[in-house]
Amino acid sequence: MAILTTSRWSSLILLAALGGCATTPSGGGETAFREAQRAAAARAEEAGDPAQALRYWRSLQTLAPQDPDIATKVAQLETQVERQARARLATGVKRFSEGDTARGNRAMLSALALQPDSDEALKLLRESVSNAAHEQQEEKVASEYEREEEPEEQQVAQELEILLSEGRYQTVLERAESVDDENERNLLVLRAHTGLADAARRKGRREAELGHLTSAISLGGGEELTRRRKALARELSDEAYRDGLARMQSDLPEAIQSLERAVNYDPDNLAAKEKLDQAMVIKKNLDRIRAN
Amino acid sequence: MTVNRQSQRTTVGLLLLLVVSLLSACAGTGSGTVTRADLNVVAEDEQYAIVRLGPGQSPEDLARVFLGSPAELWQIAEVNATSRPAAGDLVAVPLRPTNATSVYAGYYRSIPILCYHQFTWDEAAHRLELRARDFEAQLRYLRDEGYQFLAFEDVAAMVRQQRPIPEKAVVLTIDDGYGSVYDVAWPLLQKYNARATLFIYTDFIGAGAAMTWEQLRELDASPLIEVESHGKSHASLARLPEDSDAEAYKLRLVNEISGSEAAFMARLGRAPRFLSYPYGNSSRVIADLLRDSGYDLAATVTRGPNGSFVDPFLLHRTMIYADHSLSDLKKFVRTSWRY
Repeated sequence: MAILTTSRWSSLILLAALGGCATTPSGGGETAFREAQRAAAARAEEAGDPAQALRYWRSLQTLAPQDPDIATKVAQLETQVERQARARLATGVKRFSEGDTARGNRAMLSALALQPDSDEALKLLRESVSNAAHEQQEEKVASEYEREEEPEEQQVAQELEILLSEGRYQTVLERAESVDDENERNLLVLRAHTGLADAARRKGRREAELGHLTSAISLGGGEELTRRRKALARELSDEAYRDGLARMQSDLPEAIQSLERAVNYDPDNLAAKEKLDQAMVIKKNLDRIRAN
Repeated sequence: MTVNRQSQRTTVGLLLLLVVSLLSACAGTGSGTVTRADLNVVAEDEQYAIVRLGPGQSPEDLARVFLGSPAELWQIAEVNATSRPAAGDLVAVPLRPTNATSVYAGYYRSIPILCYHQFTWDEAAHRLELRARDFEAQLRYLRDEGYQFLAFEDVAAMVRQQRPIPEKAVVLTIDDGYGSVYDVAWPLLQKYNARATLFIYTDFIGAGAAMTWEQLRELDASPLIEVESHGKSHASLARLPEDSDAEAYKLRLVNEISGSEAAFMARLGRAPRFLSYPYGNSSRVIADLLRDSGYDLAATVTRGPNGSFVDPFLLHRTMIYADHSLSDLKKFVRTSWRY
């Protein structure tokens, strides 16, 4: 009995599931498709959109390429679309020649709505839109440099941007204090120090370069600046170390100064540190001998 | 008796499992398992394929198989009178765009491009800084409303009329390269599977508030992110009063563009294809230079529509500020413009 009950339930569940899954052809497939597409095409045509009507008819032609009625309708719509698109294009050209850009654009858009692949309508529309956009840009840029009511803060930041782009870094450093926004100010100063470091490098002023790099890094300068500073510091440190070594026998105070510079440039220069310690011991002993 | 009950329960359980499997198989929600071979193509020419939907197949399956993504379903809807075809119905699938310029009778489609700058988990310190929760609310709205998140690469195809503009799509762009893009925006973009285009100025990268090149390389490797150029130093690319003459101006532009490209090549191993103008300022000279240098698109920060006929080097973008509401956003992402 239990098995029978289970079996009956099983059948019911399975039947229900399969019944729910079964497909109900909605409207007879092909016939329904033809009728629906034809009706939609008619509505589009009535609404004055032959291009959309043509899209529906072309789908019907794909289904029935040999159907003469469909072929006739497609050809008729193609001719209508072509004629209307040509007329809109001519209207657009006329409007543009009269300087009426807005109506010219609308005519070109109408031509494209009919014939999306009309290269001429697209080219003329794009030229018109592009010219307007460039003019808008020119006005925007001009107004930004002429505007007097602009907040002073913004003006200063913009001016400093211009100075930076001109390479007037020292002036930027002098005037950066007037920028209230700390992030913006730091970024301007960082960029000015980076520019000054580049200028110093070009002139062979490596100590000045090192100073500006150090300042830029303290303001958050990136990995590249840090690497560059490290390499420069190492180079200067090695030179000072060699100078110190060369002077050890002839001029101890000068040698000590050079070795101190070497360590200052690069605190990781262990050879310089060691030699500096030795020089200090020698100096101490010499001082003691001289005192006696 | 106990054994019988257990046996009954097991049988019913197995049956329920079978039912669930059957129902899910015929749910017809675009399961992703349907292939071209499974489809009953009753007719085909170069413009359309006419497909009879089978049991368990949906229009989304057709969009995926023929058009590359279920998100392209709108292209099918545009050429079919029946809004929700069922199994047994015929469906016309366009095999090439039926309207590549996306201009229709009385209106045209536009690609809204939004422009962000900085993000914060806390309160916004200035207008260009967006709170994480506001950014998330915007992403959620766009996702829930069915917007496709496009990349600039998609936009390039659309302004060349290679792809029609979708019914609902948006492009997210983020300028400068602040560290908060990585820390705040990136996890949210991943959460909402949202694509975004980052425009960086290369001198900034690695600075205190900026992302590092390592972070950018990580983002650049994701299909969700495009890393593109915002110039080298963030200097305006419009002609400045200080540009002594046309030649000096052009030389400055060449230095900006080549400097940015050199950093891209050195750090990301490729040149940028797209650019956003610092301060949104452009000129005919820089637009020509970019075109000649192989760039495909450049964007301003001027609000406006981006139809397929827009100047590719003067794309419109809408700045998103901290005080913009969701209702502002809804206006900014309008995709249909009347003419």
